[in-house]
Amino acid sequence: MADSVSQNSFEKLLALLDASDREAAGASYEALRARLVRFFEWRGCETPEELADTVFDRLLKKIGEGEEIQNVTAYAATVARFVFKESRRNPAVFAESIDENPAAAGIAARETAEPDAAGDRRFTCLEKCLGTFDAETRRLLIAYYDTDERTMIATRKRLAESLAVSLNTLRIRVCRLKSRLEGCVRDCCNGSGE
Amino acid sequence: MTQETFKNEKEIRRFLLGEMAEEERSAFEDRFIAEDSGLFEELGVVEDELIEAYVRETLSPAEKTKFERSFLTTETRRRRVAFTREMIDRLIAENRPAVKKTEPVTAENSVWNLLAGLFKRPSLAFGAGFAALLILLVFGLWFLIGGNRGGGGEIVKHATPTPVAPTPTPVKNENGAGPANETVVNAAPNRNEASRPPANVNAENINKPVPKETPPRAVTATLALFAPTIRGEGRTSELKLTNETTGANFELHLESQDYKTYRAELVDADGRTIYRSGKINARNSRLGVFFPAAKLKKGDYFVKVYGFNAAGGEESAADFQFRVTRQ
Repeated sequence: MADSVSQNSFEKLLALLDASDREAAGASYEALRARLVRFFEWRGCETPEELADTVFDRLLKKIGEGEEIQNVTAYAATVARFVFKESRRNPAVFAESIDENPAAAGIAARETAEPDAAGDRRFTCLEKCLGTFDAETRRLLIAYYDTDERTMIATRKRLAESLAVSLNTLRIRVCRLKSRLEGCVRDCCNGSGE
Repeated sequence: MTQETFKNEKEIRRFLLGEMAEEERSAFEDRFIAEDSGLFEELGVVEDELIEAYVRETLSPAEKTKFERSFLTTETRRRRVAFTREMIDRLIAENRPAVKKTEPVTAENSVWNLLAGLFKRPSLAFGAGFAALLILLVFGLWFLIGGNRGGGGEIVKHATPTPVAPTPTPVKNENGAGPANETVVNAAPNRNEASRPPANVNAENINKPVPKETPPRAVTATLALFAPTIRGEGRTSELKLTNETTGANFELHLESQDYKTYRAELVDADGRTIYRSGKINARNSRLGVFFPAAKLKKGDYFVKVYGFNAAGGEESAADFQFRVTRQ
């Protein structure tokens, strides 16, 4: 029963995000979650993903209770602020228990017991993940990052011109690639990318 | 030429460096969560570039302090900085021609020993003569140039150009004999401290292999420090750094190993914490920690070591003192 209520609330949440296109609503949900995670990260929280999930739990609860929500993202921002304040008042409630998170425990154990091995593993994962990028993408990353502080702006501007895009577009493109690479390395180090 | 910036770039930097008052910050957060997905994307870009600037050490001193105090406050962010450093090093390495690996210079394999080897082998009588001539020539040049500094080290240094470097040899004086807390400054290639490259990659040659200048060498110093009650004897250990030194590996010898994991802080003479390590695991009452040379100006420093107790709390475990000299 509780599950069906949650499912119902979730469907309502998706409808609030985009009533006409369920797929777009799903993408909006993921995007909102990503923004909430970063909100908690930028507030210096150690468990931003958990806190973002807490926001959604509360949103779903309110929707389930029949609360009328006009602007769901603004509402989420307000809830996020409350959740943040609560997490500061009572960090123990929100702190991720390493015992309940075997993956985190695994990482911690690996890194504290074998710091060199953890570094080597990261390096191996970086190699592996870079290997999933095509040659053109690798060349783009190399051209973007293999520069120095004196000539960085000029180099990147020339690179953008050669790709017929604006410098800002190039910056965003590289940021997305770096984010993809970072996620791949993180998954690989956690063992889920293998 | 002016750099193309995002409309909100200054505001984003202020946000990321913790310069906004709470009210302004909240309003800004509402914007990127609820209203402006473009702003959120720009935030990610500017954040990445701040991290890159920190890694490349191009932030102004004020920005650097703010970055460390406001941004490097969580493990996730510290990992992102580490990842960025490793990624840039790796990408630069991919763009470099393979470096010919040679034997590191050690006591057993030095220029002197190589020359001595020429004399030892009868079949190389000609080589012996040549070596003698070479020694005379080197010493002659040395005196002509007015080299009245210490001798052999300089010759070895010039005889082993970058990137060939000797292996670091931390002092491990377990039996208490010999000089305590001594410093060995050695040149060693360091994967994580790959030097900044010359900027000769540009848009035109993105699809071509790029000829590179010889990269500047990465030099790591090593210092062993001992808990005062073990072998301090009131002496201050000295870390000799040159302009080429990129960082220092510290081997911290604890009086006893009371915790499984530790962390270390680098504190300057004014009591300011200028660097924090991540968690370190102790082995045989010893901790290894790396400090970037950029953090180490001439002067006195402390390394404060904290241990993590069973409850996860931190307890002061040991303090070490050392002095940095620059050559």
